[in-house]
Order: sequence, then C-alpha cells, then structure tokens
Amino acid sequence: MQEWIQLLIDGITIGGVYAVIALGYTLVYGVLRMINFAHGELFMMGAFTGYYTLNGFEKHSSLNDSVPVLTIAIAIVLGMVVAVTLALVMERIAYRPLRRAPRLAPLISAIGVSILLRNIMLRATNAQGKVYPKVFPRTAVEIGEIRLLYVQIFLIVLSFVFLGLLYLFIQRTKAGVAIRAVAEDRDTASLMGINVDRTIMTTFAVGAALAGAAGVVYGMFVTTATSGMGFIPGIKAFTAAVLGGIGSVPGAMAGGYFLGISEAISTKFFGAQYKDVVAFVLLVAVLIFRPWGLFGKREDKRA
Amino acid sequence: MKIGKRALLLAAMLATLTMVLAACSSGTSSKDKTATAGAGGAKTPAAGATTAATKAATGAAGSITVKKGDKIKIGISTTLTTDNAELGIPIRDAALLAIKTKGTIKGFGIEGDPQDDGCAGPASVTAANKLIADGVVAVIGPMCSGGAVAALDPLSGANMLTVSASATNPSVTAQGKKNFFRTAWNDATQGAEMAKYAYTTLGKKNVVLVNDQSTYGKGLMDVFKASFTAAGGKVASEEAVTVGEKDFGPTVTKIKGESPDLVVFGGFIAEGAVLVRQLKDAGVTASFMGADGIADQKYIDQSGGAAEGSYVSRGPKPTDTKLYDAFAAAYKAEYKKDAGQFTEQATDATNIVLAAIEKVATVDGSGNLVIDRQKLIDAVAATSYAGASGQIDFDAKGDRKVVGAVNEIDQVKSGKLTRIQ
Amino acid sequence: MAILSVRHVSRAFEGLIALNDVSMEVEAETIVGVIGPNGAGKTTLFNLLTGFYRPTSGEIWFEGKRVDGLPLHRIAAAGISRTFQNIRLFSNMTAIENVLVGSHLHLSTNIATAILRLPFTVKQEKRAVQSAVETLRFVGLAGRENELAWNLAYGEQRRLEIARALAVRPRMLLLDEPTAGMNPGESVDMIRLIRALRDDLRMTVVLIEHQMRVVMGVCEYITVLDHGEKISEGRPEDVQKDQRVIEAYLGTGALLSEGAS
Ligand SMILES: Nc1ncnc2c1ncn2[C@@H]1O[C@H](COP(=O)(O)OP(=O)(O)O)[C@@H](O)[C@H]1O
Ligand SMILES: [Mg+2]
Repeated sequence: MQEWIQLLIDGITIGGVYAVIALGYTLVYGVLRMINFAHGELFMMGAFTGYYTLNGFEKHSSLNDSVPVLTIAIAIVLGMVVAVTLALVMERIAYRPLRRAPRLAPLISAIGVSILLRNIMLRATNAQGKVYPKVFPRTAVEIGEIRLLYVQIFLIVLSFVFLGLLYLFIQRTKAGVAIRAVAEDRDTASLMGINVDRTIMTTFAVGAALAGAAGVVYGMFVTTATSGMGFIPGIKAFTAAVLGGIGSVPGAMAGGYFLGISEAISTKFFGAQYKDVVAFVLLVAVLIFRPWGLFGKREDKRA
Repeated sequence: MKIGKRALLLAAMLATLTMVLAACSSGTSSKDKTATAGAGGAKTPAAGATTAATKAATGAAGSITVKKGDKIKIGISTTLTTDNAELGIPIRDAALLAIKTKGTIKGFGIEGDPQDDGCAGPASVTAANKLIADGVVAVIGPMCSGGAVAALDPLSGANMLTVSASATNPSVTAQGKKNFFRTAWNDATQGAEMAKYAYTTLGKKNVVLVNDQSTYGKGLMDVFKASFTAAGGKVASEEAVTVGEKDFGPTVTKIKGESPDLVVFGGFIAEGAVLVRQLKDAGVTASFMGADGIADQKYIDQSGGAAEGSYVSRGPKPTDTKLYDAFAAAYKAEYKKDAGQFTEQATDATNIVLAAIEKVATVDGSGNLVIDRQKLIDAVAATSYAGASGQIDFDAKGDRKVVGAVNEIDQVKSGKLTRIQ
Repeated sequence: MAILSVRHVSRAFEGLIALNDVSMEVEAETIVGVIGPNGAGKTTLFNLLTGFYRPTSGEIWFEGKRVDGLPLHRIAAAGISRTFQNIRLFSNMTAIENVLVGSHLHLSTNIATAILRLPFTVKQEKRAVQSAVETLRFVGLAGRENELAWNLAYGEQRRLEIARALAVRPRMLLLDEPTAGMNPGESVDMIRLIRALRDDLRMTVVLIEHQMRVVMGVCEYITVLDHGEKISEGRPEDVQKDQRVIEAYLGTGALLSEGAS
C-alpha cells in the first residue's frame, strides 16, 4: 500500500512538471496551430539559469545559506526571464517568417532551434553536467515508508501554483482573453482590436515563463543541469498535451498528471524500460479513439 | 480545422518516431536489431569506399594513398552530443593530443577527423560511412558497444583498421571481425569479477540490477547476473533507466520495495550519478556498485555527495604508473582538465595505430604515401605496447590479453576513487 | 463632413479585378446600403475597409485619418467594426465572453491585478461585465449571456455578432448581409435593431443587403456595385429607377421581389 502511495507521489511529482511544460505546447498550438518542438529546450535553459544563478550566489556570497528563499526566488525569476527572451527571439527569427508557409516548415524550424540550443549548451558546458549547490536541504518528510523530499514538496506545490496562475491568467486578464480569441479565430480577433502579433508573442512568453520556472525548480530537485535534459520531458509534455487535447488548457494540465501517474504505475508492473512504450500506446490509443484528446473539444461540433 | 488535425497527427508521429529511434538505438540488445542495422549499413560502405578510393587512394585495391602535401587522416568515432558526450569528448581530446604529439609520419602531417557516433547503432553507422568517405587511414572508436557492433559492418567491409578505447561488451569482438581491436577490457571478465567481489568479498546476497538499456550496460548486467546467481546470490529484480532522464522516482521506489543489500548499475556517468543520489534521497541504504562507465571523478561530483562509499569496477591500472602519470600530466597541460575515464585507453589506441602506420607506410616514386590496409591491420595485431593503460597485447579476437589482475575495484572515499582491490 | 471617404479604390486578385476605381462618401450617422448582384465586390469593399485586404490602388480615409494599409487591430481601434456574411463567432465562448473580447481594447487587467483583485480591477471588471450585459440586452439577447455561442439559434448568432462588434465601441459599423437566412419576422426585428443603432447609439451604419425590402426600408442612401464598378448611387427611390441598375439586376429578378441569395 505504502509503495503504491509512494508511486503515486512519484507520478504527481513528474506529472506536475509535464503539465507545466505541456501548457506551453498547448498555448502555442492554440494560437499558431504549430508544435514548438524547441519548448523542451526552454525548460533546459531554465535549469541552467537556475544553476548559474544559485552557483553564483554560492561562490560569491553566503546568501544561499542565510536567505535561501530570496536566492531561489531570484533564480526562478531569472530562469523565466531567460526562457522568455529566448522564446521571443525564436518566435521572431524562426517562426514568424514562416507563418504563411506550409505547416511542415515551422515544425522543422522548431526542431532546428531545439538542436541548436542543445548544442550551444553542450559546447558551453563542454558536455559536463552542472551540479546545483545545496540550497535546499535534502531532507525528507517521512510517514512510514513514504518519503517526500522538501524540494519535492516545493516542486509539487509550485506546479499547482503555476497551473492556477495560468488558469487565472487565461480566464481573467486582458491578455488571456486575447489569447483565447486568437486561438479561436485570428482574423476576427484582430477585428476586435486584438494585436495578433503581440498576442502570439505573449503566448510564447507565457509558455516560456512556465517552462523556465519549471526548469529551475526541477533542476533543484534533480540537482543537475545537462544540455540533454529538456528533450525527454519535452516529448513527454507534448504527449501529455495531446493526451489532454492539444489546444485545451485544462487538458494539458490533466494530461500531464495522467501521464506522470501512468508512467509511475507502469514502472511497477513492467519496469521503467517499458514506461515509454506505455506512454505511446496511450497516445496512439487516444489519437485513434478520441483524436480531440481526453479533455479537448470535439471540433466538428462547432457551429 | 481538418488540416490542423492532420498536422497534429504528423507531429505526434514524428515524436513517436523520435522516441522509438532513441529507444532502438540505445537498446540494441537483441541480435536481430544489430543484424538489421548492420545490413542497412552494409550497402553504403561499398559506395563510401568508392568515394574514398577516388578521393584519397589511387594505388592498388586494399591500400590507401596519401598524396604528397596532404595529411594522413585518422578517424575518431566518439559521442559528441547528448549527455554521454561527457565521456566521449575527453576520448576525442586524448586521441587528438596523441596525434598532435606524434606530429608527422615520414614527412606527412597527421590530422584527426572526429565524428559524432551518438553512442548507438544508427548514428555510429553513419559516422563510420562518413569516415570511410573521408578517406581516413584508421578509426579510433566507436565509443559504445552498441555502436561498435553496428558500425563494424561497414568498417570491416572497407577493411578499415578500427581500435576502440571504450567499447567493452563481449559481443563486439565475438563477431570475429579481423579489422577490430580494443584497448578497453572485455566485460565478460569485468562482469564476472564484479559479481565475485560482490558475493564473496562484500558478502552481498540479494541485489537489484539497473541498466541504461545500452548494449554495454545491459550486457554487463547480464554477465553479472549469470555469475552472481551461479555463485548462489539472488537477483531480486532487473530495472532500467532511460538515458537523458533525470528523475528515476518510480524505479527508485520499486528498488526500495525489494530491500536489496546491493544495487548494481551498468551505464554511464549522468544516469549513474542521478540514480545513486535518488536512491539515497529515498532512504535506500543498500550499497551501490558501478563499473568503468562511471569510473570518473565526474560521477562523484555530479552525485552531490551521494556517491560516497560506492564501489566502482574498472580495468586495472598498471602497477607502474609512470606512463600513466606522464600522459595525465600532458593531458592536463593541454586541456587544463584532469584526464578522465577511457582517456588513457584512447591515447594508447591512437599511439598503436600511429606506430603501425609508421611501420607499414611506404613513399612511392611520386612522393605519395602508400599504406596497405591489410598490412596495417597485421601490424596492429602483432603489437606489443607498453602504454598509459598498461601492457597491451591483442589476442586473436582483438581483445586485450589479460596480464596480472583482470580488473580493479575502487571505492569512493572522501570524494575520490580509491583502489581497494 | 463625411466620416468615411473611399477614393478611387481598386483591388485585383491575380488578374481578377474585384473592385475597380470605386469612390464613395458616407456621412456620419447615416444608414447606407451597398447593393449589387452576387460577386459584385461588396464583401471585398468591406474587407478593404476593415484592413483584411489592402487596396491595389486608391485611398481610404476615416474621420480624417488614412486607414488603408493599417493592421487590422489598428483599424478596429480607429473606430470601424463589422459583422460577417458567414457568421464568425468565437463559438467555444459564451455569449458574454464574445462581447467581452470586443471590449478587450478597453480593459487593463493583467496577471498581477487578477491575483491581487484590487478594488480598481474589480470595479473595472464589473463595469465591463455590466456593459456587456447591457449590450446583449440592446441587441435582444437578455438572458442568453452564459449560453455557448454555438448553442444559440441562427438569428441570435447574428445579433451576438453585432453585440460583439459594438463592444469595440466603433463609430462606424459594417454589417455584411445581416438578414441573410432570416425569416420575415426576424428580418423585421433586425431592421428595428439597425435603426436603433443609429438612433440610440448614433452609429454610422453601412450594410450589404440582398433583401430589397430591408434596403428600401432602412437605408437613407444607396451605392450600387456591379462587376467591381460603382454603377449608381443616391437615395433609394432614385436608385430604384436608375436604368443601369435595372439592367444589372435584369434576369435576377431581385430588385423588386423578395430577395435573392
Ligand atoms: N480572396 C480572394 N481571392 C480571389 N478572388 C476573390 C477573393 N475575394 C473575392 N474574390 C472575388 O472577387 C469577386 C467579388 O467578390 P465579393 O466581394 O465576395 O462579392 P459580393 O460580396 O459582392 O458577392 C468575386 O469574383 C470573388 O470570387
Ligand atoms: Mg458577399
């Protein structure tokens, strides 16, 4: 029983990360009908920014010990800033010129950006994984056999907070209304006075901010940053977004947790070597039987 | 909207394909898969060889000609991307340093031609074909066993001298390719030695094996399992991790449920460091044992202290460390970094190849350098070389002959690998 | 002074001249009809006025400012709004959300204010919702606020499109075939609504219409297009008698009968 609860916690931990990253895919898909395959790399850049920030504090001050809340907050904010900046640059250079091109073009451009970012970091770090300084004590809450690291609790809670904030943003803010309108009908939205270019940039920025922040917190959890670390979470989060119904914000959130928990439980049954197989069997099943996703809206119902 | 759905499907397919490819390339444990990769690659080398022949070789078939004024090219097939590059780049650097140190052969300059082999079958075949087309004289590499097994098809088709510093799986030399040698140690001995040490010396009876789904990692764990169970030990479960992942939570939870007294890992630094730390985070008190894939200071550094106490098996360092120390000093002077795992084998492999070229190469009437491929291979087979990694002689399969201890066991003590056997 | 001035505007689509050297002026707070057979270029004219297309040549001035070539959202901000021949609502949003998108320009909420819920924000949100409710009531959709757009009846969807366009607070409203597909009863309601737009909201209205009863009943001025050219303009009763107009509609039987599609 306790092992099952632990597996559930493991699933929620990684599922929250998938969910937060998946939002970036789903938002960008919503407004551009395009999969930003470089999105996982923004997560990776966030993790590196977190490392460099916290390591900087570690080397040049004692702030990590005296006010860890402050240094962690700064790291998260910087992670967001770096990811957002990169996202805006890639949108402007690699995607916007291709907006009227055939659909495959921006997709390939995105894969190119992803490879580029990965290799830049590979060179920059000389292929050396970076190890986070110990900002969070690696102590845990223990209930019987169940163990939860404090940093893990932080990651789980922060995922929830990000999801909540994003929901609030989409539902209640001017920019959120604009994103939803552009996602439904770009031209009509612009006739309503919505600046489509700016809204698309906002969308990229919001997705990137989430990915960047998630990268920092995930980096603290796994304590390393490597150039390849965005790839698998990126693909998994994309899977989660499709599972939930790409374009759907609640779908991406639910899809992330669904995938994380399924993976954890399937590890118990089949071993981790088959957890990707489980993930993609789920994906293919959903695409065949519910192509609009578990939570997405069936498009042919539209007026 | 219909188009939207189609694009989505396309993207999903693409993602699935990427994953499947990644899974296949890292998991070439089945013979069939290897055979397919080999067969696919087998056609290309012929074409590659033709290109090479027209480009670099003008002499008789089976020989390569380096034109007067051109440089002798040495191919380096190693992993330059993905997290495994943290082992692959130092291997490249060690080979390049050996080439630079050598300078010239019979008045001809030498240059390295590094290619990324992705530590896996398909990418290694691509790298091999590229090197053949580039007209290299010999190849140092491939880095990983899975890649070596696949890439040896085109390489032996071109009768290319190939010397790997790090591909350790038994299947690599079991193929019987005459052009292949390795300065690394065959895992058949390493896996058995690890099992013996765990069972007899450490007294561990109940273990969990974890591999990284690579030919190397899975192969090493298979050898370990066979020896360990034969000795009377119990393998509670066999787990796997995925290269590139950083959160092994569910796997760790499962291991914890097995309450083993030892966790053995076959794989490389990035995953090994993460695994040992997450085991510790989860409160698993079992000892941890790894092999040459993690026998590097980076494993300790990246574990954030959790590697302390882990056992690490590796090829034995020679008792006389003079040559190793000289190499390590030269490496440090050149790259301002400590020489890591496999670098001494890489420098030895390169030096053996360069010495053999020097021995068989002849300058023809027009001042071109002619190297007979078969003679080059024969020269390496006859090598007896005292290198940084110890005395090197090859057996008939191209494996390194065992002299003295077949492996050493280190333990991480105060953040350093310390030899304990 | 004219609120809208179209000056020698042409638009070609790869050789096909959809609009050829058309000029027209619209006086503020009038209801103007644009009529003509199918394919005459009426929708193209609207698309040019709202920035969907750029003119191949010619200029468009609105309230003394040149607007052709401006991006869509700037033209909307300048005070021009429209509805579509084929309804284009945000179908997955509720009626009131559709209207709130229209009032988007006049909001200032961001994530910080959304979290903090400052009195100012709450007040602004309340006001936006209030005015959306009023707009919906104005077009006759009171009580339907929280219905998803695609669940509304056809006539209601047309009204919702007008409500959404009004939320942008335009000074000129372009209606593309507002009574298309409506039964006579619904058409009468629509005529009443169009009059109210001008009389109560002091809006300038330009409408494309096929039903002559609607055109003659509500428009004070009419421009007639045929094959991309302006062939006539003037007061309804004059245009009706124009020989060229009669010729253009000859055979379609549309001019005096109930209406073509
Ligand atoms: N985007 C376009 N591309 C090509 N031709 C177009 C385009 N838009 C309109 N047209 C053509 O311009 C002409 C006028 O169309 P339109 O303005 O829709 O007519 P109306 O609204 O008066 O029925 C038609 O022949 C139509 O096919
Ligand atoms: Mg029309």
